[in-house]
Amino acid sequence: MTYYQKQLPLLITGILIVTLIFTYFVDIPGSSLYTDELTAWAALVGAFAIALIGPFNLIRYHAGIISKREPDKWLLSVYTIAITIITYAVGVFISPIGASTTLQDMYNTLLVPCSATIYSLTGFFIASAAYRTFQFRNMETSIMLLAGVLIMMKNAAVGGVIWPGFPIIGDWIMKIPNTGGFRGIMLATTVGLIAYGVRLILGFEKVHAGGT
Amino acid sequence: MSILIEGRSFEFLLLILASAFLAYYIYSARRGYRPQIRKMAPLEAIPEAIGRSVETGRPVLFSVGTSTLYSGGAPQTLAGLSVLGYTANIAVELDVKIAIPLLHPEVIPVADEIIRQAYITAGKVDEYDPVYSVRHYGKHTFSWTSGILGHLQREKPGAFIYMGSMLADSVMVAESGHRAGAMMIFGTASSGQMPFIVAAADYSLIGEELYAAGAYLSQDPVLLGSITGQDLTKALILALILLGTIFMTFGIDFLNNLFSM
Repeated sequence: MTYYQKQLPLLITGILIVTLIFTYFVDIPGSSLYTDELTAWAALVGAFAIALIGPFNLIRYHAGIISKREPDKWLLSVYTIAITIITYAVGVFISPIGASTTLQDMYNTLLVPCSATIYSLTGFFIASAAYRTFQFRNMETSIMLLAGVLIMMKNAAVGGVIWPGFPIIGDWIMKIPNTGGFRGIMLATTVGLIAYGVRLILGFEKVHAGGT
Repeated sequence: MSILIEGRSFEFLLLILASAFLAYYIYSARRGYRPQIRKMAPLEAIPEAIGRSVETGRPVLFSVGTSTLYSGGAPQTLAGLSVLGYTANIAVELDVKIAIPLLHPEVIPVADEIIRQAYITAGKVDEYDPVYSVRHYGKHTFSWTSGILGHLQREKPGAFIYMGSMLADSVMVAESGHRAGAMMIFGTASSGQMPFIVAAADYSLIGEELYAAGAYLSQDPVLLGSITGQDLTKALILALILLGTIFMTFGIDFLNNLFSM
């Protein structure tokens, strides 16, 4: 990489961040046009990546599996490539014409139910994680277990029937220690983000420009 | 008439002060000041996790999360990519395969370049297999998540390192990683997912620790200096909170008015 290949992306990043911060704080007529334009450019770059880089990478990986006839995998790869090409073709050739809703129908009837199925597994994964975590192993896990049980008893309708103190203690945990601790984490995260931004502006963080 | 937008003057002042603290410590580091920061166990555990992969002959799985390079979660993705550089260097040095499943296609060239650089640095560029290492599992969160779940069960990685923005996938992939027998090091600044990674991963970085990871791993005094500046900003905010509490207890509105300037 030449000096300019290394430094130019860092310079462009720095200038863009500073000008965007400036338009957030200073009332300049027409500044929203500038930020809108930048946002549109970001979306444009993202759209190019979605349309070209993503499918290319996906097809290249699965084509390799098909060519090697990897057991238990290659038929699924054929299916994946076929679905990708069909969706791409419908989006490019059918949906832009007139008022066709084919692509939207495919999204609603194929992707949405599949996503909902995967999402619905979260409950089981949370139960499994809770089973592993909520154990009397040390002080931290014991506190977590105790807090978890108290919050569960606060939220479960039966908790208040067993003992009226459960909802009161649960509310106190959520409002006082939980909110306090969480706000502390969020404040520190925000300051960390500012520091990261300053390092980006000054060109010390250069991973986006191919540095490590 | 102020040139600043009403209600944002104090924010601006705080940003200038924070930047000044950071600039001062970066300048001090350049003049020889060596800041000391605490050990971060999750980052110290990365070589151990890769070593475990070497011993068991299993690959490393790395994720930079669910955010694009241009949305609100972009800094988390960039921080994750910094850790990827460090991880890839060690993995390539030790001849362990590393795979990175990506949700957003625009991250593909950046991740590809980082892993390629690791192979170039180790003098093994001929061994780099981008088809194995850089994979796109779809542009939808749950198609990507199911891709990772399958990857974990098929390839049984020895180490699973996940640094970046997280959504509902965090607990799913963590549990699946546990079943696959992977050592898991997770880090996120996504507030809703922090409790899950603390509960489910072997090591976790939360909040600001993720943003500091790149600086910590590089051990560059200039970058570490900026973390010292960051700590001074936190001290300032804590002092303001304390003062605000005292002032409001005695019915003095001064700080409240200042904050809403």
